[in-house]
Amino acid sequence: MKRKKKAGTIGYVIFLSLFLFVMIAPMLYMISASFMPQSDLNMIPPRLLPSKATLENYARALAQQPIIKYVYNSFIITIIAVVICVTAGSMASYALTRTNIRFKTTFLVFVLAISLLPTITLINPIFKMYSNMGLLNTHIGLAVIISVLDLPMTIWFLTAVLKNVPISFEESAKLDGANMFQIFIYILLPLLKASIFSISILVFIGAWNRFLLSQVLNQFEDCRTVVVGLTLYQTTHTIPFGVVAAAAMITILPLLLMVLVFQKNILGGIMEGGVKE
Amino acid sequence: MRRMKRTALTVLLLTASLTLGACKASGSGDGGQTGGEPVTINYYGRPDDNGVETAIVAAFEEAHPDIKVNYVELPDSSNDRLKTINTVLQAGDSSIDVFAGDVVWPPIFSSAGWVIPLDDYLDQGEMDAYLPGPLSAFQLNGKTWGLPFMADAGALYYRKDLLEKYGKPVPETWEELAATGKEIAEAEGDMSGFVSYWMQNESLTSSMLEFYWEKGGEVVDENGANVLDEAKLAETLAEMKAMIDHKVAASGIETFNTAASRAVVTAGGAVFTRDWLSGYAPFNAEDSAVAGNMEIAPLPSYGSLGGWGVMVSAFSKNQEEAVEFAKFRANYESQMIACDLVDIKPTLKAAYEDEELLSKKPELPGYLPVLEASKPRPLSPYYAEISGVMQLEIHSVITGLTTPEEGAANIIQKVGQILL
Amino acid sequence: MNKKSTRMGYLMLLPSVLLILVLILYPTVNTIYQSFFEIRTQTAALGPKFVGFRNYVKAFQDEHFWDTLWWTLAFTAVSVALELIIGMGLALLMNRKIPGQGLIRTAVLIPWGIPTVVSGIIWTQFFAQNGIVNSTLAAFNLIKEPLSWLGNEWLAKLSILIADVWKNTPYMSLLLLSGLLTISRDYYEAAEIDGAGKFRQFTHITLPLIKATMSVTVLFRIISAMRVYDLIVAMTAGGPAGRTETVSMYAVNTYFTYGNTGYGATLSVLMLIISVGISMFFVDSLKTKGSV
Repeated sequence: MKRKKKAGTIGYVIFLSLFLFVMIAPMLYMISASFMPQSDLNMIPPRLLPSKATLENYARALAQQPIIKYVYNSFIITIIAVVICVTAGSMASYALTRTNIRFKTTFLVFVLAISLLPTITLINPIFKMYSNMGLLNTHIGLAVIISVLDLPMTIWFLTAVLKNVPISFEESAKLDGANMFQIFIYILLPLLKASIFSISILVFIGAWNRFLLSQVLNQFEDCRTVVVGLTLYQTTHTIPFGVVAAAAMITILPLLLMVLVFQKNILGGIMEGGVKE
Repeated sequence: MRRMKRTALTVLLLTASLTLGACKASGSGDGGQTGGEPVTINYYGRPDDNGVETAIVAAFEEAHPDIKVNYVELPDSSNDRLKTINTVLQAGDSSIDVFAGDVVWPPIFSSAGWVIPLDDYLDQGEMDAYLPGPLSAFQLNGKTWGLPFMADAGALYYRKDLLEKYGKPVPETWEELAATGKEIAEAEGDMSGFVSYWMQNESLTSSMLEFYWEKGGEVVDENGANVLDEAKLAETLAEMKAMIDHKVAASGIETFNTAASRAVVTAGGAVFTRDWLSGYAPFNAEDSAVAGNMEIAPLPSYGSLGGWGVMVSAFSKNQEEAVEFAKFRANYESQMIACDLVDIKPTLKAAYEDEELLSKKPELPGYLPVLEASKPRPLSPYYAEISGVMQLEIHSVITGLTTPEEGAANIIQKVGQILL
Repeated sequence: MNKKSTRMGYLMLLPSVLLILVLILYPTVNTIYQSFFEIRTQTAALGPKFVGFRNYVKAFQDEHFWDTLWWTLAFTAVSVALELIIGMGLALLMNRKIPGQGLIRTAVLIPWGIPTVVSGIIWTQFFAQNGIVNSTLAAFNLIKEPLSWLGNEWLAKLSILIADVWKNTPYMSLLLLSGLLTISRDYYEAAEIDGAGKFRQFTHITLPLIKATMSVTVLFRIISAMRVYDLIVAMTAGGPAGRTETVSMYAVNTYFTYGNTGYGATLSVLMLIISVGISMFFVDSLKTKGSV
């Protein structure tokens, strides 16, 4: 019995490592490519590891484009977008689940329907509007439109989560004389920490990767985002993949570190405590 | 509790300060600036490969202290550039003053009224200095809508060493090319007669046209009317398919993009290749297995004309200055700066006779016959859509989903609808 | 008290409503309006021309539109189903207290964090004729001739599905995980006392309790799968012979490359109508109370 269990554990570990390997294989290839000289990348059959590791791609990635500045722009735009999206979204979902306002379903359907139009149709009207308001090539302008695109998902998701959270906590707080705003901030937000964290990560990464709007609305180098910057290393006929991979590594590392740090603090804490009724 | 309040406050303040610190939009030329204030124009250029655009802008600003140029970098891919430029011009926005455009854009942009003709600003001598081919792509309805600063065309590259070894001449027809390629490849083993990039994209249409032109086919006449020839189209498609079926073309050619095709060439895997002029340098670079053996020649009949030029927006509030820059971007000085920094082919006749340049780039005269044998793709404002239809139908035939006859009939029918 | 709470409710809804009204409502109405006009870049100087429902009639007769639509729907159904199954597995895994959990959670998120601009290139290199997948298969003697991953219709579709599942499963698993985390441990403890097995616990406790979260997750994944664009552009550009071209790719080409704004708007509105139809299936899931 015990041996069987042990064999099972080993099988499980092997399966898991294989699976995780597949998940990160493309990333490993990218890391490897970022150290390859260009001649390695033209090989047939392709090389998996560099013939000799070189830092040249990193040097070129940093020299050809102000990639660090793009990362900075992306961070600011994305953080503003996440803050707007999560703030407005959690307020709306609170109103939808904890107050007796009318037209709840209508509102949800409306929010959803309006988010179903392909992004390309937004570009022209938004460009004209922003041009008139002087919002082209600003962090805040791009951040606002990006946040709105993810707002429906945030509202729907947090509404679904809030419905599952027992109302009993708030009732006792209400008896203590807390007003609605206080209940929202002090009771519900901490409870929703994991959900808000998840949705923030998704909004963050979604916003970080928004391409078309960023390219068209923030055209100038001063406020260009990193995803748009990554396309500037390529020319029509050549993709210097080593340089692109190096640039991508530079942009991904801060993201990964952030996730690694935050997930422990937020998801980890919740897991041990759990929601007790 | 209090700590949470403070955190909330910090987040709020942080957001506010970030918002205020937003990057500024560079002044997109308020028209009628007077006095000593320099005028700023926005130039939407090509990628700043090796600092080439920045260097040219710097040279211009030095020569014109009263004009500042804000260089805006766009991706090199035609379609990605088009999204931005289209949006700005469609909105009638003045933020673009002058921009770099693909040779296939002038028909669309001039018929939309988005660019201005430059004829009033140019004298005959200035026009005559350009190679006629590259300039012709910017000339429509008797007007000049842009100036070319970078020449390109479809070319034939061949393995000099192998043709010598087997005593074969450089082929002058596609048929001869296929036969020679097959013969040499079979004798050598482990290589293909021909390679190119035939995945479903713009280069596929260009390639097909090069076969079709050899048969005397045309797409539109001078008035933009449809003159497609179904029999010749079917013949063309059959010829391309045969190259795959008879294993003249490298296996997988229908999935190759530029990089994949070039990798086959530089690994020594092909006798012939059809590529743009930018292929010469990588083929003969140090790390190529065929360095020094990949020679260039014109394609049978014609090669598609490619390249880039500058155009001036009709919505610019500083057209004088924009034209001034456009002329500079395409002049001799700029092209020399560019030649120094990157591998481009000049569009000015004089460059091909410049002793100093030739000593650095001895391959330059080899491009001239290729450029002379080049032909613009159909000069129709609806070319992009025609090409879209053609890409799909050509690819159906070469991947064996339809027959050449069906493909030709479909092209005739669908292009007929577009050009109605 | 109750009135005050209602007023507060509307107030809390205000920011979202304002943002959407200002930024999204006008473009939506504008697109619907444009779909009734012939608007072309080539004839921009002449201005738009009212054509009634002609663009819609054109779309219904446009074989290419139907081809792209069926592929888009099939792609959406298969990719979302696979992502849901794998994502659920990963979410359950990430919800356990096992060593190296932080690494697992981060590793699972990696695909989502790599910009599509880059992952598109990576997958193209993997599936290219002379690419890594073919060379690996050949090294293990599994194939003699290289497979035309991007040139054969079905293999191309498979390659795209693999790349998309890889890229978007993290989205599923993260949202599902956050749903799992709100489930009280008490339920499971009680079930264990009753002698319910793991599978029974999953179907009787986990599933009903995360149903709402799961519906929302799936719904928004469907919406974004229906708009898939850059990954396919990078891998096949719609080839072979347009068989992997999606409706959004067709709409973007029509809009920007072909300069046909009116017809592009029509295609977009049709997409909107189809998406609304699909969404209607999910609205109910939010109304039912997720209590046990």
